[in-house]
Amino acid sequence: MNTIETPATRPREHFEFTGSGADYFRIWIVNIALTIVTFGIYSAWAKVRRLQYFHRNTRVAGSSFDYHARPVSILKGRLIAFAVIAVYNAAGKFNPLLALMVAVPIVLALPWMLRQSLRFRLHYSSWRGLRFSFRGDLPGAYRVFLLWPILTVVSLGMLGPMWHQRLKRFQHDHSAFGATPFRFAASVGQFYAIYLRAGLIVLALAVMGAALFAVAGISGPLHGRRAAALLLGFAIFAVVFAAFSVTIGPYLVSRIQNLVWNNTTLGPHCFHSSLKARKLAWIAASNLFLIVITLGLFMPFAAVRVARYRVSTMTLEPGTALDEFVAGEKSSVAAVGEELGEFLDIDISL
Amino acid sequence: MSTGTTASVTGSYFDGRTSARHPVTLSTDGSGAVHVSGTGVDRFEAFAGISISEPLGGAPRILRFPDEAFCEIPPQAGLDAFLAAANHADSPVVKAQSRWSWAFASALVLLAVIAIGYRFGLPWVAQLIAERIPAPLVTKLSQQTLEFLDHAVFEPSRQPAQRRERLTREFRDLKTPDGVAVPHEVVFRAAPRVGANALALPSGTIIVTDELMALTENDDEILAVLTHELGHVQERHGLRLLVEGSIVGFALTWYLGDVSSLAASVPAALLQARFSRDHERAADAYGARMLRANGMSPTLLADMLEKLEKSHGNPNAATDRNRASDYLSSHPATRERIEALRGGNGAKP
Repeated sequence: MNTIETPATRPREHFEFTGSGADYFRIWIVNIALTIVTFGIYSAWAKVRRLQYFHRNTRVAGSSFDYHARPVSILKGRLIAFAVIAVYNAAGKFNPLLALMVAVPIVLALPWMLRQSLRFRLHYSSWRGLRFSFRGDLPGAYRVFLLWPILTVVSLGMLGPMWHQRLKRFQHDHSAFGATPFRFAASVGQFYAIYLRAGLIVLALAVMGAALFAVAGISGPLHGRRAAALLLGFAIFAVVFAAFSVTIGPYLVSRIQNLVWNNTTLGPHCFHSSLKARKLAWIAASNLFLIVITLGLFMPFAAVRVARYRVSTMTLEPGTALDEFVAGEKSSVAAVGEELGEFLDIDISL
Repeated sequence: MSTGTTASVTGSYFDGRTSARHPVTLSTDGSGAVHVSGTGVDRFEAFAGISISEPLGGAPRILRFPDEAFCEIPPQAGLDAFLAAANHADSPVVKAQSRWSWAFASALVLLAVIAIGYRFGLPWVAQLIAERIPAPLVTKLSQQTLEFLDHAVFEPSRQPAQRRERLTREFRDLKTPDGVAVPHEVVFRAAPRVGANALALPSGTIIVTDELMALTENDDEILAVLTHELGHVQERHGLRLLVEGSIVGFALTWYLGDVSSLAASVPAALLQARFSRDHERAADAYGARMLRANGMSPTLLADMLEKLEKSHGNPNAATDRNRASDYLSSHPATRERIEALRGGNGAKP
């Protein structure tokens, strides 16, 4: 956004994250131990605590966010998700055909589950006592979670940026805070511009990777030895993979988050996001390294580092007083979709 | 005013219906109620009806009133005294979360549970579950697996029918080591893309490839392979590995899920390979016992393993999952297995 001309604008409200890695590590490790000694049952309570930690430590305009889901409903969702995934895995081990028969209904139900997941996550989040909500309809969910992915594949990825825009529009245009709806204005062209630049970076990396391969292949003293060549190939793959995950990943995440939030409004209020790809890349790379050498013990510190940086780059530009939001209607939402999405490793964070 | 029971803190009050923030002072005089006062707010509430959130790092504490209204109280000097005056006691979990000693103890518990669970608990649970999977389901799934393999990789056997019938008959006539008959069926298939191999399905169907039969003229060696496969059937290794693999994969995805599910799949394969090797050893032991029970030598199996190893000089992606993961460390393991079989029979010629 480049429209902050109003002379008597209200002060920008900066988002801030008050959590610390040391605090979160203790919570994380105690909850993992409890989860294990209760055979996983406690994981639902641990999840609520984790989300409460991140919500309540995120502040804007002097107030924290909060998370209200009841562990029991998350436990139910987890049990259902566990059963579905177990059936799918067992089927896959015995017979790929059978796995397909189980997978098709799961894929067909996926849009419904993801919509459910969005509803659940927002419904149980609040700020200053008012709940968020998601009101996207089912046909819309089938379009962005089934039709558009298929179109993207059929078009060999050419429609990918358009899918991404449709997805973000579906999420942001149907969300509300209390009775006030969010609005989303980023255009398809803006998504394409980001992906085009990302494509150029990929191209540059691919050329470098190919050159590395060629050099290693010609001059390598390992020439002719199969195992060594295999190892070398693996090493190059690992380097390229790591290069991608600390370049393209952070680049896309930062540019898309900025684009999405700079074009999202809540009533008269605007948002501003200024994530830097380079800083995010540094955090991602150092986190990955530290997680690997600590066998995962660095994970809670890593999560806090990422949250602190991402939150710190967000500001809220109030159009009127922030005291004027009112509550919307109340209802309850089941956790099934949210949990299945999590098991299938589908993250649709806002 | 009695000392120690009077306390006050500052915070924000929200009514739950609008986003208006009211700066307030919360005070209690030890009478079991709190007084919330500020501009436009003047409220008395008994602590009995208030829920107090647990501390989460630098996050504010939340005092939730019976009606949607609540107070946010940021960390401050008088907070502990106020909570004490409210007779609020943190749960044991909260106390554990706030101390490094508990964090350290948790890490130790974690390590111990993982090590013991992986080494002893998981195989035990897997066996328990495998024994309880209904036989009709096992049969049905095995049939489907065979149908799929027939469709995808197998062709009808081209070995002489005479030889196949003789092998089937001779194997049926062998005694099992404990004298308990194990229901089974031996089938023969050509598998040019898989190569020399034998595999057992959980239902008791044992598949022998033409390529394996072509490795030797001595049918006793093939009988030896069949005793090994019957060991897999008798001890339900297929189903156990299925359960073990699922649990390991599930646990790792859960632990590393925050990083990447791709990152979780590599250690999962490595951890699973261990169970696979344990099963191979157990099946070898069963085969050796069965061979001895019939007056045959376990070296027959060792010889056959050696031939198999040679024929797979370049590890072929076998369709049998057990074998595929076994390859991650198959070479030392196979040598060790051959030596174990020969050593166990050292005295006999």
